[in-house]
Amino acid sequence: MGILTGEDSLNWPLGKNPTEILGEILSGNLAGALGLGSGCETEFGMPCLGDSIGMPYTDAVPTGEGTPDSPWTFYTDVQLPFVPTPWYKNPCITSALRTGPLNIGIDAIGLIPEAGGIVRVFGHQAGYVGVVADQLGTKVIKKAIGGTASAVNGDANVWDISFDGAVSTSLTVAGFIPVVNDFAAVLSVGWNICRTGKAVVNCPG
Amino acid sequence: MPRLAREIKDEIRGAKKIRLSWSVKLYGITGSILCCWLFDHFGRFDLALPTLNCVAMLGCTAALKWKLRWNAWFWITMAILAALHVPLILFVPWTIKWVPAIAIAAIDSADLIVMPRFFRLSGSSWKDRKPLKDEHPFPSCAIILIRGWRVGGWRTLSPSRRHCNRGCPTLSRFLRKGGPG
Repeated sequence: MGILTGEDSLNWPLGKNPTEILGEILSGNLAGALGLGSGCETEFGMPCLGDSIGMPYTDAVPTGEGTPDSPWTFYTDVQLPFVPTPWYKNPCITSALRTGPLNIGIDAIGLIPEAGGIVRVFGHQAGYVGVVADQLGTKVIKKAIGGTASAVNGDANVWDISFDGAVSTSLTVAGFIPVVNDFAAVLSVGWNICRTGKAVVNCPG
Repeated sequence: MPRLAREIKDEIRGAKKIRLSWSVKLYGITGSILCCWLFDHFGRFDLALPTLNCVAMLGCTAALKWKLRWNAWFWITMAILAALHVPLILFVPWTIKWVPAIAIAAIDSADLIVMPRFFRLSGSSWKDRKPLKDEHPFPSCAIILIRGWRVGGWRTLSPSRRHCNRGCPTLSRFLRKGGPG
């Protein structure tokens, strides 16, 4: 959008009645002035309304009083040719690429085998080795991700059929059955990759 | 400890032995991307994750109860379980927002705990038995029986194929009597 003033850009005759100016514009090409045609030029060199890229649109109602102190000012919009935004500057794409890989990364933690891997690292930090390290690491991770205390002692809890017990049992089993964790992680990672791609593709521009 | 609890513990113990290798995980991720793309193509991206998880848990249940595959009731129960999951997938308003995999794993675990109970309901009289030599599990057995019967009737079946009697007794009895004709 550009702002053209009668004084600066178009040498518009100062002091002229805006109604007269408007009449002259309209008499030049009414269809063009209404934006229906391909554009025109009035006798003052004033551009008519345009409906295509690069064709300026000048507001027919000026501001100001036509005096040297307050000249008529005509506002002109020009629709510039489309310049695509680079993908790395598109906020929609950058936002999708920020959240998507983060979610994928969190879900991918589930792909790490329980025996060894990150679980064992936690156990080693506490000074244990082998199976003991795995067990301790598993407990630490369960507590870290919000598992309940009963979930840690889940084996004694699997036949609790109350709601709390069922939730606890589910969390317990989720943590203790590697294959369920694996399936959930694998499918979530795939789904998140697809979701991120979809979000990027649907971004405008 | 109640019998049900003992059974659940046994099943969990069995499930713990199932492991996915890294190659299977990579194939799984690729496959799930393709499936999600397919669901998106048909405009139901929201159903992709629940459907894939249901299929995975049905597979886990089948793996847990695989020793019962010689019984027709095993396959019938699996079909019933699959059918029960259809309204669950279709009528629950699933979100397309991100849900942590651990939460999905909890839902999957609940599913995995409940599904084997159906086998107890449907086949309480089943006994685990070892298959005989050349015995085929129910689906292939049914195909062999029907194919053999269509070619030349019951008597043309070879002795090894007659082992299918044990896998599909009802179908076998039905065909012996002359089949649908």
